[in-house]
Parts: sequence; C-alpha cells; structure tokens
Amino acid sequence: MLLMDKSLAADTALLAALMEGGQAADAALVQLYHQNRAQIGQLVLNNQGDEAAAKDIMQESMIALYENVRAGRFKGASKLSTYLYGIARLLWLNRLKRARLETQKLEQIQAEVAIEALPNWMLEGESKAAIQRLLSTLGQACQKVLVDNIYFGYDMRAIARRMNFSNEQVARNKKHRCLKKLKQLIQEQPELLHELTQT
Amino acid sequence: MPVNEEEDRLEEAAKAAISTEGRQQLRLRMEQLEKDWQKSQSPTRPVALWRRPQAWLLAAAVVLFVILGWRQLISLEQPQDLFAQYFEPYRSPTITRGEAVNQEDWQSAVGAYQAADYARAITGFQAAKLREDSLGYLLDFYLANSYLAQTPPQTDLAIEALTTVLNGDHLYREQARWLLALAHLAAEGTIESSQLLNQIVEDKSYQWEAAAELLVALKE
Repeated sequence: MLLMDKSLAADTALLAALMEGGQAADAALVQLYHQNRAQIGQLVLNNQGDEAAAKDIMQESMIALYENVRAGRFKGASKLSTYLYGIARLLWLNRLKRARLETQKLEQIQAEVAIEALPNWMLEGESKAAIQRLLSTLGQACQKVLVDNIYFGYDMRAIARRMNFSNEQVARNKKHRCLKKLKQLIQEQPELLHELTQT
Repeated sequence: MPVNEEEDRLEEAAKAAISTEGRQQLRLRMEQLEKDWQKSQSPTRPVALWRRPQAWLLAAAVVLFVILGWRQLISLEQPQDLFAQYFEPYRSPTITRGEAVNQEDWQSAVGAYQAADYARAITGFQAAKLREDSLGYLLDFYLANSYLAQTPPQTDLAIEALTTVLNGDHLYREQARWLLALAHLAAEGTIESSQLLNQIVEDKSYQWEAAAELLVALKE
C-alpha cells in the first residue's frame, strides 16, 4: 500500500513538472526516459524491430506524451509509464502496418490504456521546409523566445536569464513583437496558413 | 471573416509553426537522453563526488546563479534592453555576386551568417572586403549586422561600418539608419539614437513604426 502511494506521488510530481514546463519539465523527461527506455525498447525488439527502431519509437512516444500532457489531452487516468507504453505500442503498430508487416502478435498485447489522440506532426516535405524558411526569416532570437516560451513552457524570467536580457519585461516585449511578426509573415502566405490550421 | 476569428486562426497557425520547430529541438534533446541512457547501461566504477566533473559544474552553476540573480535585482530598464528587444540580424543576402568579387570568401561568410555563426561570418566578410573594390557597402552592412549579433555586441565597429553605409549613395541606407539607431542604443548613446529614430519616423522609412515605439520607450 505504502509502495503504491509512493509510486502515485512520484507520478503526480512528474505530471506536475511536465505541466509546469521549462526546467522542471526537462527534468521529468530525463526521468521518464531512463525509467521507460528499456521496456519500450523490448516492445519493439520483440516485435520485428531493431535497436534503431526502438530508439526512434521511444523518442516519438516521449514527444507525443510531452505534447499530450501539455495540451491537457492526458487526463491522468493511468500511470505515465503505462500511457507512454500505450503510445509506443500504437506508434509501432502503425509503422508495422505501413510497412505491411505482421501485426498480429503486437495486437495481442492488450492495450492497458486508450490513447485519445496523437499530436499531428505529419507536416513534412515542402510544408515543413516552408515553416523553417518562415521561422528563419524571423531570426534566431525571436525563434528562441517563442519556442522556449510557447513550446517548452519556460517563463519569462527564465527566458531573460537564458538569453542574457536584464529582466523579464525585456523578454515579454520581445515575445510580443516576435509573435506579431510571425503572424504577419503567416498572413502573407495563405496556403501555409491553411496548412497550419489543418494540423 | 470576423476580425476575432481571423486573429484566432493566425494565433493557432503561429503556435503550430512554433511547435514544428519546438518538436525538432525536443527530438535533439531526446538524442542526448538516449546517449546518456546508453552510457548508463555499461557498468562503471563509482567515482568520488568531488572527482566528478558534474559536481564542479554544479558548484560553478550555483555561483553563476547567485551572481546573475544579484545583477537581475539591481538592474533597471536600460537602453541595451531596448536594443535586445528590437535587434534582429537583417535577413541573409540572396543575391549572387559578380565575377569581380571573391566568391569563396563571400559564400563562406553568407553560409556562416545563415547558420547564425556570426564570428565566422565576420571573418568571411572581412576577408571579402580586403579584396573588394565595389559593393563594399554590402559587406559593411552585413559586417555591422554580424558585429551587433555578437554577445556582447561590438558596437564601435558596427557604428563605424553603418556610418559608412549611411553616408554612401546606394541601397541599404534606410536599413543602415535603423541599425545605426539600435547600435547607438546598445552603446548607451541615447541622444544619437533618438536623433536617428526621429529622422526615421519623419521620413516614414524602414522600421518607422518600431522607431516610434522606441522613442516612446526612451522617453519613459
């Protein structure tokens, strides 16, 4: 009972850290990676995968978990490690199907948790290149402020420290200007705007 | 489409674009974690705490944190802050240089500039400038951008290069005036900067709206 409480408390702390973002989320990701890498590697290796695929699935699953937690799609109905395993199983199953490989054995492994949705990161090829061009027009400092704050959840104080600004107001103003500029750039490219809002 | 709906759509698109870049960076972080995990799989002998490089790094980080925290406490809004908010290196040159120009130095400098390796860009642009007899203003302009992108910005060199561009009769004069105003800000020359910003606003030239914002901020 005590053991279960401890494990639940650890999971709650990890979840809170991921939600908080920034350095706390990074520390949580390190812990989750180390705790689950072997098990997910084994899942892939036992189902027609090799070491490279195991690594790949682990990393994609971690990214999906991170994005789902931060977007509020993970409701805490299971342990984080169970959820991560569920994502990995689903991703590997999809990959086997795409390669028209045998999936029966993997499908027999009962999914302990339902994965509501995976983030759509299928933007590849020209669209991805167009986004990269767009962001590079924005400049390195702008990119960093926006990505650190919006994707990684660093607060303005941390961003000011990371970017050598003297206080958080500088970072806040910079973010405001950069976001405005990014929106202007997107507005000038209706096709890209359409693509980005479809994902 | 109503204004609010359009704004929401742009916000959503901007976040999707940022997530694409963030995901890429997170993937790199995962690669690091994989390496650490791989290392942890090979058994190693325990090392005394004081002999671990991490312990020294941690100690250094604590000292740095204390120093930076103190700096943060005593600092107020400075002209350099405004510089940091408004400065972005000008977009990379896309034009192909003529045959008279030393292509190798130019291309290497542009490549470095695109990769945000401004120290290497400076070396390349300087080398190209040594052999250059025309279009020197272009080299001065990108040199100035590279000087300003350094940490801390090399303001004296940037001001010198931008003044040369501004005094010439060619392209990039408007851009140079804006950057010169920022360079003076970074050098705490608020009077020189304000004069240039006023000219920009009066002429409604390159970045005049940002110049107007800056003037307000400087008066506060």
